Amino acid sequence: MTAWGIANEDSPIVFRDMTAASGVHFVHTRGGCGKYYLVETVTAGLCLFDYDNDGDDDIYFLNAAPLPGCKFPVPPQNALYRNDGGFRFTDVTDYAGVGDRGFGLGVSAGDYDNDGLLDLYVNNYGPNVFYRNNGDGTFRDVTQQTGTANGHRVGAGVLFLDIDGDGWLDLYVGNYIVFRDELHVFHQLTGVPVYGSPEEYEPDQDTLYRNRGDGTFENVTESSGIGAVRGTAMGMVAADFDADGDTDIFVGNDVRENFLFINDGKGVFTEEAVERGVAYNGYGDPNASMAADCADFDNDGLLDLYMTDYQSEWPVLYRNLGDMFEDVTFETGAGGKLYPYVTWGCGFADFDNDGDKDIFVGAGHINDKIELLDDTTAYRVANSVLRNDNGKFRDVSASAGDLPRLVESTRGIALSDLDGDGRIDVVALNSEAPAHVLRNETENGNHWIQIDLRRSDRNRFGVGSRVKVTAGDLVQYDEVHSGRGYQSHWGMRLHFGLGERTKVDRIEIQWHGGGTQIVEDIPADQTITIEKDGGWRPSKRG
Amino acid sequence: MPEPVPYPALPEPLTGDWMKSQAEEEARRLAEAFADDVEALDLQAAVHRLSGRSDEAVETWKRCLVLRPDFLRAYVPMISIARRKGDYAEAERLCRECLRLDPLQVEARGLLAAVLFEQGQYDAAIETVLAGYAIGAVDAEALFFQGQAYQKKQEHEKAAAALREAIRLEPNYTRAYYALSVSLSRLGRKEEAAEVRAKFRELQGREMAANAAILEVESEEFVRRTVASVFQRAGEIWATRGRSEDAERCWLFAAVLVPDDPAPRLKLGTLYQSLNRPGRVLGLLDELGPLELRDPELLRARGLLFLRSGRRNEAERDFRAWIEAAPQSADAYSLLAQTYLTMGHKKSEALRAADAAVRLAPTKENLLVLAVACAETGDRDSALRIAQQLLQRDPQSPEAHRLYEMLRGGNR
Repeated sequence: MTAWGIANEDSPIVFRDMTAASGVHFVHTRGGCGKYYLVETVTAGLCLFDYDNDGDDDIYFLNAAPLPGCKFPVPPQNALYRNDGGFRFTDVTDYAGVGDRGFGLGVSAGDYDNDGLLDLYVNNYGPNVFYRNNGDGTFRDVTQQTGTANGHRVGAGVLFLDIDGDGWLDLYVGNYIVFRDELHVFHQLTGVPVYGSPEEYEPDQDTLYRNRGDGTFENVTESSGIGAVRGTAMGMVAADFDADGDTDIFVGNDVRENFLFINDGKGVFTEEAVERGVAYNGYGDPNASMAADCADFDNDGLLDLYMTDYQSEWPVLYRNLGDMFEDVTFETGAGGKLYPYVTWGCGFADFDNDGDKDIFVGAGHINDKIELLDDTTAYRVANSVLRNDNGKFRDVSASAGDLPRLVESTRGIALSDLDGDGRIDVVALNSEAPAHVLRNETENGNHWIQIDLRRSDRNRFGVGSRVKVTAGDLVQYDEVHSGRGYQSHWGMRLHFGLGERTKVDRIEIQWHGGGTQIVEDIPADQTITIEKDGGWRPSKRG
Repeated sequence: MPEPVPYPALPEPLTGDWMKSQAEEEARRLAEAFADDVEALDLQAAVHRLSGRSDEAVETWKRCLVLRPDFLRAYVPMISIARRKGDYAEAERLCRECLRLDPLQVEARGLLAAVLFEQGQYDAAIETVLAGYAIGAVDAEALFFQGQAYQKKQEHEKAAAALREAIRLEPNYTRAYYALSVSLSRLGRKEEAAEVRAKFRELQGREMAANAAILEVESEEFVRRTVASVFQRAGEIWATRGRSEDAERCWLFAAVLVPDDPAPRLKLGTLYQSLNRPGRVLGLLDELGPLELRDPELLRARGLLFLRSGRRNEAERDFRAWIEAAPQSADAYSLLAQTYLTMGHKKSEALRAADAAVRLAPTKENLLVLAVACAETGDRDSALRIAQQLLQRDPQSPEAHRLYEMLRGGNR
């Protein structure tokens, strides 16, 4: 066994489609009716979070709303599915009161009021919605009280992060383009209707809200430096990219240079994407960036970035070199076989528990009639899983169980161990189609550990905290994020594959905002909770 | 007297799918008329591709290669399609096949370097470019990928050199500036890197502005121009195979599709001139004359139409503009000299222009013009000497014989 772990060639990563049996009947609509509004293409993300604190992740899907001139017999709305265990889910949308009927784009979950409950922020085309978790299975709309409606804009991803280490989660709200219904232009190409491009519209500022700690937020977009630039935000992820103890922000922009906001530790940011090598791909091309996720794919202690993009653009893997990044897509094979396709949701996870992070990518074109114009790509495409073998990625989708036969136009994907078996499962939101719920049935006997960070004072879920897991010669790192991938959220419970190792020797936590903690000698194959300044205990499972 | 040009009427509204159907019909007609003609098949393949049928396009180009294995033009679009589909093995195979047939195929070499680079085969990409460099067959694209490959090997001095060479060949090569700034940063030459990065950002800003401008145009406009270019090319194929009526039909259609583009009407003018229909030529020149042209090819075509129609002042204007746009064009000087010679009163200008043409390209044709200009300006000795030179170079040349006999007999 090496420091990377070894993937067993004979036990491929396998996903089984559990949608029909799961009780998840969510069907996404893009809100259009043949008028081809650009916003139809970018809806939507989804959220895996434990809203009822029962120890397993529940599913919250975003949906679009009818666009001008479009009517639906049943108005589309967002949906919350409670995880009942055993891969069974129950639609609790109405009871929970989170069935927003706005035009959903991005979503994230975070405990903004430090009551130990995860709240929800929904980023719409139109007014946004902030749902406070009441702790009894219901939510309350606190958008006005918190002052976070964000006007009437076209949203994108959302992040909860603690910009200044004060223990109160702040809120980063992505904005895509400056658009109103009346600015829409109908396009067609040789009689085939097609969607326009974000280049036809003005880019927009993103919004940063600072949490005052009293249930309200202050718009600090300008004073924080975030407002110094305008982009076409889509997917985003916050992490300590320069390993200096504070949280930075990566924003993927559509057909423009990406942003990397470097935090000075006090919540003031400088945009340094060009200097640090993540504004463009390795060629210097501004990609049509879609989603972004980060993880330490090469186990060197630095968080790397993965970004999806458009047809005829390779998804990009940026290796973090410390002071800058390098596009290592080609030497690592991280582009898989995705060059012909528009790629969307993406996420790192160790699907085969071999001790390194694999990649899952959702794909599908924006134009539903693209095959009439271009047969080198497709509107509906099977999603991909790229297995990490010693830092090289191999597209193993063809042997990944039901994955190759599930052909849709995916937008958001989210990853979580939904059934508590230590294997990371997948939920995919498919544009204008039913969602997919996939169970990871990879059989290789590898071991694992999952970690929930908790603290009792502030930042209760440890967002931004960094964890180092040592098991024998295998050393892995991760960080707690809130908001990632394609305008989605998942993964506050950290998951580490351990290969053949049956115990973890040491877990070192660098708590965001200060403090280091070490716990030792933890048996593998369990989910544990580490309390700040306390020990570890097995987590509650749903 | 100028005659009206019989342009066809276009349907209202003019839709992209109708235009596309016209292009497909024309390509089919050509392929039927010349079933084993690679030019006709090449056009049909291009139309398949434009219509999003890449498999049919590739099949048609493969047929071109069966008919004419040296029809190397077929390779580049097939490589592009294979790459676009993510079939890098096929793209690499096609690149290598093309280069085996002709190692001087610069574009195929650049594509091979790209394909190898994107498969992570950095040494192979470098070797490919070095092999091309040794025979003088590399372009900026190939050098860019060589630079990228050196970067991956952390050989940043070599990378910078390759990228600077790419920029020398293509001074506004945006990607090369970006890559160069990365290498300079890695070499610790921060200030230089910042300067190069600034240039990169300037060029990229321009590119983004240009893209935005393109997007402001309705997408049907793109179809209109593309279909017009198909008809222009179809007209050329018909014309070179003696089917003047079909060529005329194609160019008339192209002319109405893109009324702001003088190219189809210039082709029509040339056709009418060859068919001895001066009225039509004059009709076209009435339309084309006032246009302010900058493209050397268009200036050449219009100047020739003017010259052959006896409108020498306008011909002179176009050939002078052509020289301004392309100062190294010997043909432009030669045609200007011929124009002056026909004017009678600009003999010394003719001599200067002919002399410039010969300095740039001492071809048989340019030497003939210079000899005539010498004779016209009274320098019969020089004219005779040039005629003798021409005969030594090509003893069978009837033009040289005629000139020599005229000069020797004193009978011009």
